[in-house]
Amino acid sequence: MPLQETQQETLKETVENIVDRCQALFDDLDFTVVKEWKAANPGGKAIGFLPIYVPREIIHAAGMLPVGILGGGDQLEVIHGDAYYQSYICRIPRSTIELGLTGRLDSLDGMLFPSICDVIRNLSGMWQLLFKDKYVKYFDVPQTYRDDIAGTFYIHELQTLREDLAELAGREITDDDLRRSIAVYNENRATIEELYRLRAGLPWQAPTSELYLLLRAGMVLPVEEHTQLLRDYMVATSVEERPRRDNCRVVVNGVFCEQPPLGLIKSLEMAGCYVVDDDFLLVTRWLLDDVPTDGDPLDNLSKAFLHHSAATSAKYEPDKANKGRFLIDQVRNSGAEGVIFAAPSFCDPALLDRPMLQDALSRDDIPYTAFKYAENTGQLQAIREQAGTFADSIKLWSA
Amino acid sequence: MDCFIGIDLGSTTTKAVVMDQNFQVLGRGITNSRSNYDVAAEVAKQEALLNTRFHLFRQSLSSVSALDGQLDDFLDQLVRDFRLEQFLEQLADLERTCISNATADRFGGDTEALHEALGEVFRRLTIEAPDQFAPGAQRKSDFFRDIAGSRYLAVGEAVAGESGLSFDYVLNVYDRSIIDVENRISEETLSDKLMRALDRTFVAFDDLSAASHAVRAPVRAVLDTVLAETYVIGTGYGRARLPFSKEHIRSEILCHGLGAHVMYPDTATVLDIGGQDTKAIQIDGSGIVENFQMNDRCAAGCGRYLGYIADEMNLGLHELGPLALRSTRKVRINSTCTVFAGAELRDRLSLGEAREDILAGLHRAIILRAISILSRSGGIRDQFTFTGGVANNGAAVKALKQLIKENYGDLTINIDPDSIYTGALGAATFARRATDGDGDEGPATTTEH
Repeated sequence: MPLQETQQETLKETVENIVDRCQALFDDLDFTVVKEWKAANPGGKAIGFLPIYVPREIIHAAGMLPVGILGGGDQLEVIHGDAYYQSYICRIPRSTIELGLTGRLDSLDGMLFPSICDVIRNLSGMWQLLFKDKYVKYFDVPQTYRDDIAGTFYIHELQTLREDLAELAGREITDDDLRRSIAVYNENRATIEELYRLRAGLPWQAPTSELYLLLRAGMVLPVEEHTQLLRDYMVATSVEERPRRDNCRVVVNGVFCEQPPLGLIKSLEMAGCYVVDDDFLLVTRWLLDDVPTDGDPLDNLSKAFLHHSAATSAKYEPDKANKGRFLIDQVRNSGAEGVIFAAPSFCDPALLDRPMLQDALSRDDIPYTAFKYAENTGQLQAIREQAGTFADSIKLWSA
Repeated sequence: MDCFIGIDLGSTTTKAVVMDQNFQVLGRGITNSRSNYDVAAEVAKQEALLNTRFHLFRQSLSSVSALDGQLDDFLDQLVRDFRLEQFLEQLADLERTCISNATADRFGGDTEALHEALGEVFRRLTIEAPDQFAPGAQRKSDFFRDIAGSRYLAVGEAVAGESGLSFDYVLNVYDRSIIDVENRISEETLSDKLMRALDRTFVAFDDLSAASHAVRAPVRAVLDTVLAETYVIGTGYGRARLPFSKEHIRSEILCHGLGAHVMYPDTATVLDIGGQDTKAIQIDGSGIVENFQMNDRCAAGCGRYLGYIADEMNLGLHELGPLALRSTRKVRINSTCTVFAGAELRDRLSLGEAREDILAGLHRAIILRAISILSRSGGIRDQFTFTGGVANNGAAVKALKQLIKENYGDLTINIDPDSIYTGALGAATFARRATDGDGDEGPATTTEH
């Protein structure tokens, strides 16, 4: 399709329209869009998954809708969820239980709980006890990266998931199904990377609060529709002149599981920080390169995971010398001037990694600041103050 | 007569209940817990015994024909007059203490002027005192510290201004003196104070002067009745501080469960929101605790949260609920941390949110914490009884009823206007049961009043 024609067609979609739609999807804790998808695809199944990574390609290849479940945010009142967990842990499992107990996840036919931490692992057990009629799987991922050990293990995990979903779908998932789905997700990841490059270059044209809502839309929309939505947005924002502010440029790190409230993301920008890279919703950016669409699809997915995935806090780094390398590359590649460590309270993966990452940044003279949040943090003044001071200090004293 | 007394030594207030042989409640007393639990327990007990006397006055005066149709008014006036006498007694004590603390080594050449100013302050406070106890007078609190304190500040500032003396001096002697005064137990007998109050009441009811003897004789007889502390049981946050042997101590949870059962025998689930903690209690048909949960993090979601908010907004604790009920818009407050909620409150105020809307959000936040604790204890079963000081707060009750309806459907919700005494009631019931001779309650400790 010639570019001009695309532009004319999508110009009907303004940034405001697109963002409003994403905001509505984000606000809808009843997952209406999933119900609508199921109504439009009779017999179609929807499979929920928690952060940080599951191979959505396999769900897609089974003709199912992968649905990212990221807790209840700051609008959900937790009535029963607290009863299932001790006090001193994060909030995402409580609000996820609350979503389940209140019937908001009834449209899901299954749930995947990837290995990110003990809390999410235990949530898979809780789910098995509470929702006996649903497909529930604790999806384990390798913590070492040798093909002959970790690869064998991981391919076995992938194959088990493939067989489980095939049974649920009532049909085989062929290699060709998988290859097609891999191609679809390659395209989606490439489009997201394009959006990230756009933001890193012109952060005022693609504010992080909008980018974030676009990513969240990808958690509930069919992937093809999401890819189109991202393209529409990039076209729409490129023809709008948007106000540029004298903000500093930062990478946000630690936000990959329990999500910060949208108000917090907006607060960072209001306080003078353009976010130019981050680790929000890692599932969309976990694999760094295109996964080959020829050869054995599970072997390809495994190799991508083992050798071409984002070395974030969510991934074990066996070589201490490499710790923090990925983050420093994020800073350099996005032209960031500092790092904001934002992690959910009680988040083991993020908080235990933080001192090592901070050490690495210090060695490279990259300034950073750090705070904690919960998905329902309501008091943002302190965070605005902290981010604002950080931004000012970078502008005043960084060479 | 035999009296069975339960004392609930709470972090904010101390409550006492007096019960007779037949499990009938005769009197209730409450005081602020100060930082002195021994005194608080003693004062609450004295207040409950006093309330018992009034209960007995009512019984014996109900047959006095001259009071037909005006017994309630008469007794209400007598209570106010008695409170005034109590207040004046403590005010005189406060004046003596302030003068003795206003020494030359502290105030140098200003000492004499300070004495004069204090004399003037207390003269004015004594003159205006009856207004504080007039029918319909509004007070932020009934405790001496609160009533005397707020007026002392106002009058003291005026007097200091007129005399050219530093207000800090006036404030300084008050701060040094108030704790001593509120921790002293009156040495005067109850009878003397009450008879003086009765004289005042007769002034207000001058048409009764002919019936003076018919009224005074039964009052005298009640005052001469010995109220024996046959058995006392203590409970509450500060119970370890009570000068009782362990046989005379029961845990708060047991007392609250039993107290709620005594108030409403069909109670299955009890929620108690007190100053320092929130308790969700499941009880069986006899009031025995089956399961319970308490707040496990901090005072978040407890009565103290509201106390802190009231301080932040410069309001009396009792003004919060009514103000929140005027809310027209929902504001969500997510901080469960008491201190951060204060910060969130200021944040919201600076963003232009209305005070009443923020307050309604804060009330909902504290009740949400309670709902979580209830869920952990096993949910809410019919009937549900809400107790503790926060049960007197209309906005908290409204939020609770709404959340129960949304999550558990239509249940019977019991809230007794005297629910703040639930723990003390349970303790008094344990005390009464202890003397039924099952042998394991230890020796009775009888003191006579």
